[in-house]
Amino acid sequence: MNQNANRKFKIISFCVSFLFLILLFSIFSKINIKQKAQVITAPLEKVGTDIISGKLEVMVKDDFDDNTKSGINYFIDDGKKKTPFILDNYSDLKLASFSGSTIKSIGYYDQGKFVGNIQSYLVNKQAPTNNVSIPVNHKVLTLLLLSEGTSKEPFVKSDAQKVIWNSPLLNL
Amino acid sequence: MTEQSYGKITFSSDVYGWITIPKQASTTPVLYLSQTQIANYIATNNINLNNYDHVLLVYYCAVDCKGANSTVGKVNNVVNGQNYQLSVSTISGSQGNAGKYDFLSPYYQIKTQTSFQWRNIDAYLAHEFGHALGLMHANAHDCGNFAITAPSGCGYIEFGNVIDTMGFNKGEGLHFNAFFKYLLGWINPSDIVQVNSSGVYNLSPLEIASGTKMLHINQPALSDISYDVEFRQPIGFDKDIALNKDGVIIYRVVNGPSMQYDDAKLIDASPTISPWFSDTNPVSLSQSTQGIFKDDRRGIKIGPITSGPNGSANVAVDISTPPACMQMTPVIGSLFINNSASYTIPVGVPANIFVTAYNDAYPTCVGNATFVGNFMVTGGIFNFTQNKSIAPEAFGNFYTTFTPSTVGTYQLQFKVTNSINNTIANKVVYIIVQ
Repeated sequence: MNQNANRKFKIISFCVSFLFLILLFSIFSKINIKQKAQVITAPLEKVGTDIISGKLEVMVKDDFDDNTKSGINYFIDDGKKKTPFILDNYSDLKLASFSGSTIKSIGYYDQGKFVGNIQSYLVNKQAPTNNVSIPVNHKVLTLLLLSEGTSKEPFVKSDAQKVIWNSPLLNL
Repeated sequence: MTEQSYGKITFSSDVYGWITIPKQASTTPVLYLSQTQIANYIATNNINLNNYDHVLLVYYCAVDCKGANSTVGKVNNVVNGQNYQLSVSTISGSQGNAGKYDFLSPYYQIKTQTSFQWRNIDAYLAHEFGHALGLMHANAHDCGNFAITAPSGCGYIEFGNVIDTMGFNKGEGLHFNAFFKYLLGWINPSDIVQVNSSGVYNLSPLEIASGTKMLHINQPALSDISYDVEFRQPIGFDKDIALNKDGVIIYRVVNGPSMQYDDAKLIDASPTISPWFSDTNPVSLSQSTQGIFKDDRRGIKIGPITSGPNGSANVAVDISTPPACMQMTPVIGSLFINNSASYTIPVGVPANIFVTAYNDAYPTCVGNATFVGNFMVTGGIFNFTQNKSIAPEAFGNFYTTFTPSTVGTYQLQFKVTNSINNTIANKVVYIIVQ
């Protein structure tokens, strides 16, 4: 009897554990599905007519081997999240009313007609920029990072100041 | 950046590291730190990010680390719960590939050895710090065998400015172009001459601090396109531009609401049939060949070039009445299905179809033309019409969604009609539905 009871207990425990795992799997599956659903995939027509507000951010990936593999990603930061969107020569997209900027309206192409260069906005986010009358020092935090397994550092830390920060580019 | 900013900016840095990025449980090396790991390092080392304008991450690994990226200008970075306005740039190098991507090897894109040391790390940093200052890429306007022609015959080339650090440069001209310098505040507006009438105008070399740095040539009867002209000489970091690209350089400028919103792209003023990046001919207007650049649609001629005093250049500019309006037949560009120029699509799944049509009407034409675009699939199983109002020398994007219900090969025709002169253009592609 004891052995049977023990066996029944094990079977019930197994079933409960199994159901619990299914429940957990189900919950995580729903979370994953919910996360996937948050990916923004605006149809082209919608992108074509949207006016988007927020701070424009641009990230450039450079492939010096092949310019076609380089990429430019655009985001709008509305203070809560950074939303990626399409902005290229093929988008009839006009951006307007950036918050936190004196620029009230800026765009790229609107119905195939050039509206304005976003670059001016991006440059003007630097401070100070235009009409620099005295030398302005740009202070940079440099972090040197080495992937484990790399047999040696390309230069020792004490040389970094010389290798990077006395390099020809600073004179360029 | 000291030379090309005429001493207006400098860079300095505090350096931390080397920080070893640990392997994960397996032997697979981890190439990059996560944002959280970087934030933790900053907190642990009591680094005050308020002291900085820019962050530079220098990654080095055993093999196959290459390339770089950067934010363009400063962006919001939330680190350890606090927001900082910083640009963030990354450069990567590796020991592999026979030193090709090694930081201290000579810059591998250089086709001719520069007369000074220019290593991979220098090329990466010079480019990425341009982004950090807010610059995008220096691009080109390529019209094939022509210096300039109707818009449908031209294309834009990312990185196409071969004599600018923000372009796909071979170590020849390293200065930023004059328009970029103007944007950055390195060229005073008083050093830019607005040219609205014929005459001979003097330009000083871009590489020196004094004198006129840029001509901004406008056809007064039109306002959409201008030409920026700069004069490059083998001075300082432009020393090796003498190899074949020095002289008067011309940019096609699409005018924004004011000059700071312009968009300037390099033109090949001495075009050949060679593809853009393998064309070894000068991109400049040569003084020796008495070259003249012409935009007949706008009545603008630039050249010939003659020597001016103290190493400057005299640039002849002729601005005449532009030709009268002429409407043209539409021109259809590439057709994409699901962002691809190959047309194999799955059955039962909506496919996004996208095509561009150009209105090549002369710029003197007043008002937009209505272009009627029609997508039609074999047997009338799909028929969609879309109208676009397109300005002269502009383009319109037509798009639709087609959901194929059965497997097979279908003919897709896109037809566009210019409603002003009833001229028609057609494009036919074959869709394979699997």
